[in-house]
Amino acid sequence: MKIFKTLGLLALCTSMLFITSCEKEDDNGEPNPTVQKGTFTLKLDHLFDGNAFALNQAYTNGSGESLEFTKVRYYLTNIKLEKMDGTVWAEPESYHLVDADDMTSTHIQLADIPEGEYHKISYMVGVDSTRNVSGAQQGALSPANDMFWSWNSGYIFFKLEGNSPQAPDGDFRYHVGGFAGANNAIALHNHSMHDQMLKINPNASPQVHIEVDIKKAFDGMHTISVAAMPKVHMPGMMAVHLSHNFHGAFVLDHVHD
Amino acid sequence: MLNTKRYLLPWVAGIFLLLFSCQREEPPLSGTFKGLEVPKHFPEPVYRFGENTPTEAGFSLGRKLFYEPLLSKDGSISCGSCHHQEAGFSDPGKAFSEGVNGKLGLRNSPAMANLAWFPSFMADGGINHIEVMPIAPLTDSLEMAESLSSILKKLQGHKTYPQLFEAAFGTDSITDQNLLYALAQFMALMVSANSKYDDLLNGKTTFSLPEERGLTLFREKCASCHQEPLLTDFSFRNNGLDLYSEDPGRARITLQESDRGKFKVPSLRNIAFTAPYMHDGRFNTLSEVLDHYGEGIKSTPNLAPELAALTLSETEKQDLLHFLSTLTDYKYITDTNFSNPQKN
Repeated sequence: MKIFKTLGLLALCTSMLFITSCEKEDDNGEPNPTVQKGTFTLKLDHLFDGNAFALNQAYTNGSGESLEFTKVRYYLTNIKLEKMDGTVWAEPESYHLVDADDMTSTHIQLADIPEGEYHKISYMVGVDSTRNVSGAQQGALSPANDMFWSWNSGYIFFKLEGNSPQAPDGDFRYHVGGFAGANNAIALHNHSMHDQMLKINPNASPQVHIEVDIKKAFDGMHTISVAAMPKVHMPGMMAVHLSHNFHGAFVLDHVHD
Repeated sequence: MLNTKRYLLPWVAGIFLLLFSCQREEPPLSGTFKGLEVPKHFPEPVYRFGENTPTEAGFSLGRKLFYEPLLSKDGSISCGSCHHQEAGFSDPGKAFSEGVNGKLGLRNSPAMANLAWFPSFMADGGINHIEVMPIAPLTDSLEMAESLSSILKKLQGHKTYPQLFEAAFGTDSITDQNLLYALAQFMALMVSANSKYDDLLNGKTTFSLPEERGLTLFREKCASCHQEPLLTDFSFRNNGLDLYSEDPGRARITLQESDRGKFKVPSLRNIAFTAPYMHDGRFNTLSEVLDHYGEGIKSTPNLAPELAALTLSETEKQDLLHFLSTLTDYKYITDTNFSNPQKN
């Protein structure tokens, strides 16, 4: 009797392993082993004024200032997908640190997603207020990643740094963050994928391409000039203006199967 | 098969235990480790530890790290270099403390006690959580001037730290989260609640007449900001030190000019041992402090309204000094559980 039970359990566990992880099912409350899972890649293509972007290349912003970037890093977090029926899938522990200097960080792999067609993708550029006030974090949110203000607790949502002959000290440094009240610089992004739905199934590995045009950080709702404002290093109005501009930099380009 | 396993298990466990006990160079804690015990006359603490459940191994590791000069860039100073236990974990006699290469900090090194009750840290309240508090002194170029990633490398390559982290957190792969968790365990358990004042509140002692008069005066003239029993309400106030404060104080964080020169109301625990006083250590004695409150307050626009009409006679100052001396917690400033383990 016992051996049958054990074997049965073993078979069950093995099949569960193949279909999905046991843990995830527990999270949803109702185990449903018949739901198939799939993956997709969120691919971030960095541009400057519509052309491929790279660090240490000369570009010109709308104010006619010459810019050479040495650092472009940002937090992309809280990724969610939505089906037409309103069902939402949210990536657990969804915190990603994207670095223009690190190709692997621009290809975010998402897994364990229930199969189906999704028409909306949303995410934050920034870190939700909860994680800004919850003490020592790990992984992408580890303070050792140098995206955390030690003296004025909170995450730096994005860093744009580089050199410019027009900047008073020859360089510009924008460290943008702030999660409270009028200084809130968290940017919520919503893209609809009606043109081509994101089709998740176990046999496909679709990609969602987001274009990030860095020039928009300078030329958007607000005009940012490195001569007039070379440094931002704390939450406040300047950081909020930069977050408005950077919000406009993210555009859904296409989805492919 | 099963039988062999049964034989092996205690052996493996035994060898592990042996390894740990051999490598243990820390003196054991005195008494049984009980985690955070809330004194019965204290409110509930702010810090609830979350996933950072305090353990004897975690606390001991935090203590060792607190006194570890490896955490500074050139290995010259530790947290304990500017926070001396015998001075209530302040830096006695120093208006500003020396960081690496003799650089001076910008504000007086604060006393440390009852940090689990703190809603914010630093004189300007810029730090919002005990776990991330140490990042500022560790990385500030005027203090320990080291990067977290470099600290992690040094600890990982050290002969004992990987085992101590394993014992505390179940992994010898050292992360900044576990580094900060260990420091938070140590700091949060630094509870000072055994002064004569505490004994009075708990009905275990009586005050002398001058002490009693001092307490009455304190409750009448000071306790609205230095709220009992933690002796601070953690608000930010301008106490009229200057007509125009060069140090923005709270305004450094809020960018509001109305917060210029406002600093967090400090706790007065162990105050007799934490000289010099104020955010810039401008007063060397408590008498000078009381003289300031008695007749030295400048009517700056941001002045705390409570201070506008404050007066203190000479006899009142004497009585207050008697009361302030009851705030010394001799058990706290001599407790070997908070001392440098290398010196025990």
